Amino acid sequence: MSQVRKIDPATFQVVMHRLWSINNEQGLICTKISGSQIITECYDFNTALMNKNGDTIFIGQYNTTLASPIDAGTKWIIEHADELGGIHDGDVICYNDPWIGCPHANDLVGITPVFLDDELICWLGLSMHEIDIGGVWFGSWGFGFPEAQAEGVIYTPIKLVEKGVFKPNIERLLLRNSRTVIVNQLNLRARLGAFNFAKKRIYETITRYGKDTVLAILEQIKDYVRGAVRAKLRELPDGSWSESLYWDHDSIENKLFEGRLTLTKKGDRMTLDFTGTSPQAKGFINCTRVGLHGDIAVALLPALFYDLPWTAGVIKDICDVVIDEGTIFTATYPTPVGGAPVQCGTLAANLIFSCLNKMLASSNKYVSRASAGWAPFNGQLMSGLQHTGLPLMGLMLDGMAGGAPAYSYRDGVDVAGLLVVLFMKLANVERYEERFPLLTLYRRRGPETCGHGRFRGGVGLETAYIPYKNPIPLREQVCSASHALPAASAGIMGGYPSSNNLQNIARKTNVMEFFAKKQIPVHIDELNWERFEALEAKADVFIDGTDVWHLVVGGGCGYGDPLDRDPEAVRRDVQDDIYSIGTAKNIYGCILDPETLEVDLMATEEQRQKIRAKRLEEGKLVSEIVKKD
Amino acid sequence: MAKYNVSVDVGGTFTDCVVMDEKGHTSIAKSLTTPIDPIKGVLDATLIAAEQRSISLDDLLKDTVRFIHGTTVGTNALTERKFAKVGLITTKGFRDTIHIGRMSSRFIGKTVRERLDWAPLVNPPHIISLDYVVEVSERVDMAGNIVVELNVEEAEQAIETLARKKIEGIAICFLWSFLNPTHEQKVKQMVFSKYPHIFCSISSEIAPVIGEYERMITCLLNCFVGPLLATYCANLERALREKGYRYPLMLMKADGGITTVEEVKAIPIVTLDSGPAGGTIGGRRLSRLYNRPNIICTDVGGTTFDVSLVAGSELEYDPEPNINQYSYTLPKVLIDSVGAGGSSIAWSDRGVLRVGPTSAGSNPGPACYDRGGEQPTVTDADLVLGYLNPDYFWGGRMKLKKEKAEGAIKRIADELNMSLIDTALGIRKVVDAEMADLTRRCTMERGYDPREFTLLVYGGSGPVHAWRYTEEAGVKEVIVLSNSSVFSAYGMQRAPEIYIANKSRPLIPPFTAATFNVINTTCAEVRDRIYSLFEARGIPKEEIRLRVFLFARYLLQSHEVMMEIPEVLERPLTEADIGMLQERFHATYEGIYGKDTALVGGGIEFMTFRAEGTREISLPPEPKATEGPQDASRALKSQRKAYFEEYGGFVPCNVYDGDKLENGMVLEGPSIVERMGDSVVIPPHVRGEVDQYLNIFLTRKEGS
Repeated sequence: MSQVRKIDPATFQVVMHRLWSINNEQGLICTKISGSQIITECYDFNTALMNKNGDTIFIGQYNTTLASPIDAGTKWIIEHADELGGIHDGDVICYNDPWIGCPHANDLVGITPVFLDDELICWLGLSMHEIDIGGVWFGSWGFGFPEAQAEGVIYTPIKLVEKGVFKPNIERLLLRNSRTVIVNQLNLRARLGAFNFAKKRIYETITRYGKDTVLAILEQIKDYVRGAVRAKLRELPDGSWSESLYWDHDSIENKLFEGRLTLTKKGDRMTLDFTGTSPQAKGFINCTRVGLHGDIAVALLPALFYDLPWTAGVIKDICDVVIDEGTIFTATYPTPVGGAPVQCGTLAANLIFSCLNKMLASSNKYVSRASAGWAPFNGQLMSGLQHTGLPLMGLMLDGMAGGAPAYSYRDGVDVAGLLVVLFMKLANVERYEERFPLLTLYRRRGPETCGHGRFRGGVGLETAYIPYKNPIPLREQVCSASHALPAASAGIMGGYPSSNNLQNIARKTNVMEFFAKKQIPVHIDELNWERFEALEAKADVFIDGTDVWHLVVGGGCGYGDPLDRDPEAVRRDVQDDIYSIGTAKNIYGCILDPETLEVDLMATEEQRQKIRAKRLEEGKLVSEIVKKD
Repeated sequence: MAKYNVSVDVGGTFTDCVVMDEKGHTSIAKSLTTPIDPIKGVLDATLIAAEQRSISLDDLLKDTVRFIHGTTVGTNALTERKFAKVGLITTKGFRDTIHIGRMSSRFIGKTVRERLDWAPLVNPPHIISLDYVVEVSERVDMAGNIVVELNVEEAEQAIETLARKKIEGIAICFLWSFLNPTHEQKVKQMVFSKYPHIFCSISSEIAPVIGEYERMITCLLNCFVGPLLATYCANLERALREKGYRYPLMLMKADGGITTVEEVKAIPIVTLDSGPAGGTIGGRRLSRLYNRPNIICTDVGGTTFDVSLVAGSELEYDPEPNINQYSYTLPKVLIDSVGAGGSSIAWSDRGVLRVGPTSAGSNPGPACYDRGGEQPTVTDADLVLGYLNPDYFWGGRMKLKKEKAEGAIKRIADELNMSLIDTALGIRKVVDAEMADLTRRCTMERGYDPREFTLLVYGGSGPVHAWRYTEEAGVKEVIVLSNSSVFSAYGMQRAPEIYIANKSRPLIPPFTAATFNVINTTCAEVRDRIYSLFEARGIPKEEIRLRVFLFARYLLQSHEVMMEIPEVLERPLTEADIGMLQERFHATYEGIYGKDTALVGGGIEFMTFRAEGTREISLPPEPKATEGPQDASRALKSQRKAYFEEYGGFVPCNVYDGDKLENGMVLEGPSIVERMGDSVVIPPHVRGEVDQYLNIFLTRKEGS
C-alpha cells in the first residue's frame, strides 16, 4: 500500500473514479449507436481501459468474457507494432482472431492508443459481438463443420483508422463477407463514437491533474486492487476444491464433454488445474486459451472483486493455470471455436465459479457471498425474412433468461440472466413482434425450473410462439446445453443443479382453432399436434404455419440440502406454481394437503427421514452415473 | 386590491412557501412538513408567509389569483407502500410480465458501484400480488389488427374476480393496445357500467407507447396513487376555498408544467416525483431572465446531489424514468442524482479515502450536530476547514460542535495515516469530484460542452462547494441564488402549463404516400389531444406554443433520437420530405454521438410521435434592487481563518453578512458570505459580484 501514498488518497480516489467512469461511459455510448439487438439488449460486448503495457485496468459492466482477452490482443499489437507500420495517435486497430485476443471470431475488437505529446498514455478497447462475419451459415456458427474456416473470416490486427484518417477500403474489407453489413457498419461507427468520447474525457483528466499523476495512478490502481484481493485471499482458508461438469453436443456428435477443475488455494495465490478435461471437440463448442483467460475473469471478478474496480490485469498475479494444449478449453487452430463464449467458455466459468463458491462457503467471514451456479445459455438464432420482406437475423434473448443462483442465506432471483452478462434486459414482447415475424402465445416464469435446495435457485423463463406473417419459413439454429443432462452448472453444499434447458417444436398444431374460439392456449399441453420434436442441444430446423416453438430456460442452482428447506417456504413455492406438490414430497420431503396446501409437519419429518435412509443406501458419485465413451 | 401568486412545495423536512404580489415582491416562509396530514403543513407555511405581510391567511387567499402546489403524496405512498388495492387485467399469457420485470428490476436505478456488488441485488418487493392479476383472451398484432377477438365472458369473470377482492382500482393493459385500443376501451366500459366507483385506467390512454412492461407499470402506478391523490387534491382545494381562495388549485407535474385538479384526477401519475422539477423550471426562468440559454441546475441537499439541465432554454426529459426499481414511461424532467451531500459519511477503504453513498441524514446528522452522530461527514469537514460558522448555522438557530467534528475526522485520519486538516481537505475534494463527475456526465454524455453553461446552485450545502465542483466540471460561471433555500417553490411560480402527448406508431421504409398519410394523421392526433386539454381549461389556441417531435432511429437500432418536425404544423408532409427528415436525423445523431457516427445512406425508421403544448404564465418581473456601492465593506461582518489550498493553509478572510449585500457589491476571494440557510465560499482566485436581483455571480478573477 506504500506506493498509493505517493499520491494523496483523495486525488487517487478522484482520478481512479473518473477513469473508471470514462470506461463505463464508452460502453454506454456504444449501446446507443449500435443497431444490433445483441449489443443494445443482450449487452454482448465490453470495454477495456489498459495501461501503456496493455494490462487491463478497468473493464466495463457488460459481457465479461469479451473484455478480459482484449489485453492479450493489445499486447500482440504492441509486439507486432512494426508490421502494422508503427502505433500512432489516432490509430484504430481491428481484429477478430480468437487465438490473438477474443473468445470467438464474431467478436470484432477495436483498439486505440491514447497519446499525449507523442507519449503513449493508455489503450482503449471495445469488443462487440457481430451477428455475422461470414462463414457457411448465417450467424457464423459453423454448425456441423470441424474447422474454424467454416465460421467466417478471421482478421488478424489491421488498421481501420490510421493517424486519424478513416480507411474506407479497410471498412469494405471488414464488411465484405458479412451478411449483416448495415449492422456491422453501425457497430464500426459505435466503436469510433465511443473512442472519440473516451479520449476527449481522458485528455480533460490529464489537463486537470497532469500527465505524470494520471500515469502514476494507472499503475497504482493495479497495486491497490492486487493488494486488496491478496488480503482477501489470505483471509480465506487454504485448501483444494474440485468440480466436474458436463456439456452436451458439439453439433457433430451428441455426446458429453467433461470439464474438470481442482482449485488449490495457498496463502494469497490460487492454482486452477484443469487436468482431466476432455480433448477438443470436433464441432464449434471449444474455446481457445485466450478465451479461457476471459472465462476465468467471468468467475473470478464477481466472486472476489465485488467491492473493487474490475482490474482484470491483476488476475495473472494471483492465479496460475495448469492445462494441456488441445482440450475443449485450449483448442488449437484450426479447431472450430465459434460457440466458445456460450459453450465451453461457460463450462469453464461455471467450474471456476463453483470451486470459488465452495472456497467462500468454507469461511465464516465470506459464507454470505457464496452462491450456487447459474443456468447455462439456452440460445437460438433465428433467420429468415421480416414481415416486410427485409432480411432477418437475430438472437432470441428469451434463451438467456435463466434464474439466478441461490445463496447461503436466500433464494435466487427469478428470471435474472446469465453469469457472463449480469445486467441484461429482456426485450418487451412488442419489441420482438415489431421486428421478428412471430406471435408470442405466452411468456412466464417456468414451473419446475429452479435448482432445489435449502435455498432454491430462481426460476427460468418459459415461452411459446408461432411464426406470424413470415414470408418464408423461419430457420432456428439451437445452440444450447443441458438438454441431455442438467450437469453444466452445479448446486453446492447439497443443492441441486437447475432443470434441463428445453427447446421443442409442436408441428402443425390446432392453435388457429383456439384463436377462432376467442381463446389463447397458455400451456403447450393444451394444444393438439401432428408431431412433437424435443430438440437436442444443437439443432438446425425450420418452422412455419401453425408450428409452435416452445422454450424453457433452466433456473439457478440450489444451495444446501432441500430436505433442510423450511416447510413454510416449500408451501409458498407450491402456491406460487414454482413446483408441484409431488416435487415438494419427493425432493423436499414435504407433505402438503392437496386442498389447503397446509404442511403436515409429522408426515414431513417422516418423509425426510425416509429419503435420508434411501440416499445412504443408493448414493453414487456423478462419475459413476455418467457413462463415458 | 393585491393579487398574489402563492406556491407551496412540500419536502421531506420543510414545507416551503413563496408569495409574490402584483409588483413582483416576494416573501418566503418555511414550516415543518406534517407527513400525516400534509395539508396542515401547507396551510402553516402559507400562514407564516401571510404574517410576514401582516395580513391574515384568509385575506391572503382571498386575493390570491393562483395557488400552485407541489406534492409528494404519491411518491411517499409508493415508497411506503401505502397505496390503493388494485387489480390488473392483461392479455392471456402475460400475467407474469410485472414479476419478470424485463429481467432487470433488481438493478434498475442502481449506480455502477452498487451493480458491481451484485450478490445483494434482489428484485424490489412485488408491487402487485399475482392473485390480483387476471388474464383475458384477446390479441392484437404489430400492425394493430385484431388476431383474437376480446373474450367478453372472460372479461366479465375477470372483473368479478377482482371486485370480490374489494379492489379500489383496476388497471387494464393489453398487448399492442397503443395501436388498437378497442379491447381496453371495451373492458373499461364494462367496469364502469357495473362498478362506477372503481377507479379504472387503461394503458392506451395513460401511455400509448410501445413496450408492454413499462406501459403496464405506468398504468398500474396510476391506479395505485390515483384515488389517494384525487382525494388529497380535492381536500386541499376545499380547504383553500374555505379560506377564501376562488381559482382552480394548480398542481406541479413531473414534466415541469402545472395542471388543474381535474386533470390530476384523470391521470394522477403526472404528479409523481414532481417536486425537484420546480428547481429546473426556476432554472429555465433564470435562463431567460439572464439571457443564458444553457443552465445546469444543481441542488445539494443533505444526502443527494441532483443535476438537471436547461439547454437552449428548453427542458430535458428522462427517457427511462423509474421509481423504486420499476421503470415507467411518462414525460418527466430528467434529473440525475448521486449520493453525495452535506451528511455523506467519509470512510477509509483499505487506505483509500471514500465519501458516501451512506449518509448520516438529518438524524443523527453530522458529528458536529452533537446528536449522537460519530462518523465524519462533509459538513464536519467544512466546519474544520473554517467554511462554516459554528455559531451562525441556520442563522444561529443551531450551534455546531467543532471538537466533535475534529474527533470524528481524526479517527479516519489515523487510519489513512494523514493529518486532520489533510483529511478534511481530502473529504472536500472527493465529494467535490463526485459532484463534478455527475455534472460533467450530465452535459458531455448528452453531447453538450460544459464550458457553454452557467451553473445554478441551490440547496443547503451547495454554496460552500459550488465553485470547486463547478471549476472541476469545466463550467465558467456560477450563480448562487439569493433564495436558494426555497428555490423549488420559486420555480413553481414560473412553471408554464405544459401538456405532452405521445403516440407510438412504428414505421419503416419504404416511405410511401400511405406512410406519410399515417405520419400526418398521427401528428394531428397528438396535436389535437393537446388542443383539447387546453380547450378544457378555456385557453385559446393562440396562447399555446405547440411543437411536434419525432423519435427515430437507424433501421434495427433500439434507442431512438428525438428530433423536431415543425413543418408538420404548417402543412402535411409528403414523400418529397423524406430527404429533409433523413438529413435532420443524421445531423441530430452526429450532434449527440460525434463525428463519423451517423450512417448516411443507412435506412431510418420512425417510432413515436410527440406533441408538446406550452402556455407561459405572465407574471410581474422580478423587482430590481437599487444600485449600491461596489465596495462591500458595508456588508462586512467579521474576519476569520479558513483553509484554501491555493495558500497551502489557513488564511484570514472577510466574512460578509448575506442580508446586507447590495446590488453591485464586489466580493473578492478569499471570502465567505454567511446567509440565513447557507455559507457561500469564494476561493482566492474567484470574484463574486452581487447583481440587481441580489444573486451572487462567481467567476474566475482575470489573470488568475
